[in-house]
Amino acid sequence: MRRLVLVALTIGMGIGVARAAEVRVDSPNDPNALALEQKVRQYIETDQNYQAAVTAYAQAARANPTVQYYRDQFALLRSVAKMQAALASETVPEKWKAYADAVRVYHYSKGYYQAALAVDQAAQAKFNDPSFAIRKIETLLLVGQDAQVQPLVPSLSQAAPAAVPARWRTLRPVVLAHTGQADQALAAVANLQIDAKTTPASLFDLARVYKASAKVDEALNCLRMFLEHTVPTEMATSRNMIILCADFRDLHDQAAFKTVLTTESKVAQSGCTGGSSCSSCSLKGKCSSSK
Amino acid sequence: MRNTRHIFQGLFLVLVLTGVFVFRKNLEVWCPFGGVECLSLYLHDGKMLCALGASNFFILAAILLLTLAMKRVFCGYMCPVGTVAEAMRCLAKKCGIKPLSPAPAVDRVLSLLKYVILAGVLWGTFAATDLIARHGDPCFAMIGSGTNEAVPRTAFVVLGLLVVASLFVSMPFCRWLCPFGAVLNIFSRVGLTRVHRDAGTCINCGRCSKACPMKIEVAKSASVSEARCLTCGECLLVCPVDKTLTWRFLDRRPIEHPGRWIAAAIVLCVAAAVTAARVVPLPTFINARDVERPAVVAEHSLMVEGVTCSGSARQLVFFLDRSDEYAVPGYLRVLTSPGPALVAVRLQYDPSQTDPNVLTDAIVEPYYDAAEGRWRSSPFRVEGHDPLTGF
Repeated sequence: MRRLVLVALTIGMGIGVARAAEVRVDSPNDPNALALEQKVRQYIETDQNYQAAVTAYAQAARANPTVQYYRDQFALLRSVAKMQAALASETVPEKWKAYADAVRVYHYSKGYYQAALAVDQAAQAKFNDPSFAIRKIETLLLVGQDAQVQPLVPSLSQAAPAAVPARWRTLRPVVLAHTGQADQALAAVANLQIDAKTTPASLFDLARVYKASAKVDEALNCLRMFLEHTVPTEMATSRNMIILCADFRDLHDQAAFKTVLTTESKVAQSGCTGGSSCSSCSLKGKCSSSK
Repeated sequence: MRNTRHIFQGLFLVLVLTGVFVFRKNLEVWCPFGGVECLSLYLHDGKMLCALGASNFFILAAILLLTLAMKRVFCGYMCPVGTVAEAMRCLAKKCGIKPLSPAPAVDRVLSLLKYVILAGVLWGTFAATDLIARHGDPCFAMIGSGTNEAVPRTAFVVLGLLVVASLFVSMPFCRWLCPFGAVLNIFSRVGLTRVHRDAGTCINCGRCSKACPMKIEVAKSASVSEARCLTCGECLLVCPVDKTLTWRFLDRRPIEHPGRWIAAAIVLCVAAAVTAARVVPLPTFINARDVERPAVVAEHSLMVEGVTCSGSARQLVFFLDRSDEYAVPGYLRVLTSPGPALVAVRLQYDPSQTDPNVLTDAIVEPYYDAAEGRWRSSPFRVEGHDPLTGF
């Protein structure tokens, strides 16, 4: 009997070791991977050569068959590249908007704001409505092209309040702060009620306003809350926004800033990783993949 | 007979424990009660729940047949919860703890509880499209670790209570609470084999009633028709008068060596269920698109990795229902049986509107979920399809 138990345990341990060896890497952080990311960024933002970027990921995926990250990035970018190309020829407005949306979300997730700006500019030129104007302003402020923001402001200020997305209430103070009107910006956000659940990016705007007024602690607190209210799948996007935003560049060496960047999301979201049950998923009732 | 029973009980318990804790297998797919829980949903919309599969139906059918033939043999010989309960009572007996026996009237009322629980579980499972019984299922506490998900604490609490209660009461869960016992009772009532008492030779010593773990009054019956009889044979073993208690098929002549017959029947039923699960391709997830069926329907079969459960099969449908560059205009139906590793997925489609390559692309390409404003990478891999081809 003892021998049987020992044999069973040995087999079990063997299987465990074999499985551990098969574990796939989800996100690489070695120098080669970072160099690849830089290369892809250059292909997309500078050269606007999506094909080269897709090929770069494909080569990395081939060279590292156990790293799922490269395969995912390859598949993702290939779809984005198709949609980016479709923007030039798509004639159905709703489809065009959907493609623009998808491409912009990708660019934001990777921090490719110049590429996102090109999409925002095309969308604003095509539809000229407040929501696209706000998107364009958001990206312009992120890439530091403040001068181009001013011409867009009057149309938003004159538009009917119902037609202007809620985000404008916090983005406008950022515009003020960026044009040297920090006090007015601070006054504009003084009694603002922010619904962090529906528009967590408003907290990011608020942090920029506080930072412009040298209220670093308040700014960091807003950034922390911004990350806490970001859904888990958007954390990379939000962290990129904080890191790449010029407003916070002088804080990069501060320990408090680094701590903020480690903040985890407090929003429940379906992981949908293909487990054996949806019963433990807090969002199963709302999940678009379940009925 | 007792030896046969203990060998089977030990064998099944060891199989379950090593399967779950050593080989990390999802043994829930072999739980017959899973078949009961999912039957109404499966008949209603062709979908099983979680990672349950056709094997649940096959083992359920095998055990119901076994019950029709030999009453609740499953409970007495195979169920790990019953084994644990019996082991606890045995331990208590060795420690000198006397069993508590509720009055017959109380016992009768308590034994109705399992029917109430069964009704609640069936209604709740159908209404919630979720395996709600898991929250209070002592068996899930034992096998749940192999299902790659958290076992509810309440299931462990119920298992703990069951272990403690079994020290003082003989098989309380099996007698009063087990909803699967309630299902089996319906079939066990017409059980074709029964214990018979020859009133002419019986000396009315009452040992048989005392020995019965289910507290059946064997000494007062001409033939044990009680549905809860486990066919454990304890009454036959303790009877001091030869041939007074006998095990008979359809009230005919006594069957010699009942242990061998029972062992053969169990092995046969389990083997039949395992074979059927391997041979019969019963889809446990069927999803039909709400579109008009064309005159010509084509089918594309592919082996897909990642369709591990009902939820991930729904995710597969989500990818097929996409509305982006990879939209599939003519897909009609998905038929699959979720499980670990590669599973066969049959896709029915209108060949005038789409082709197999488009279907494959829809499954493996990432999808922009406009409702949530995020990209979803496909968790699926199609055998023989390499997205990197050409790069």
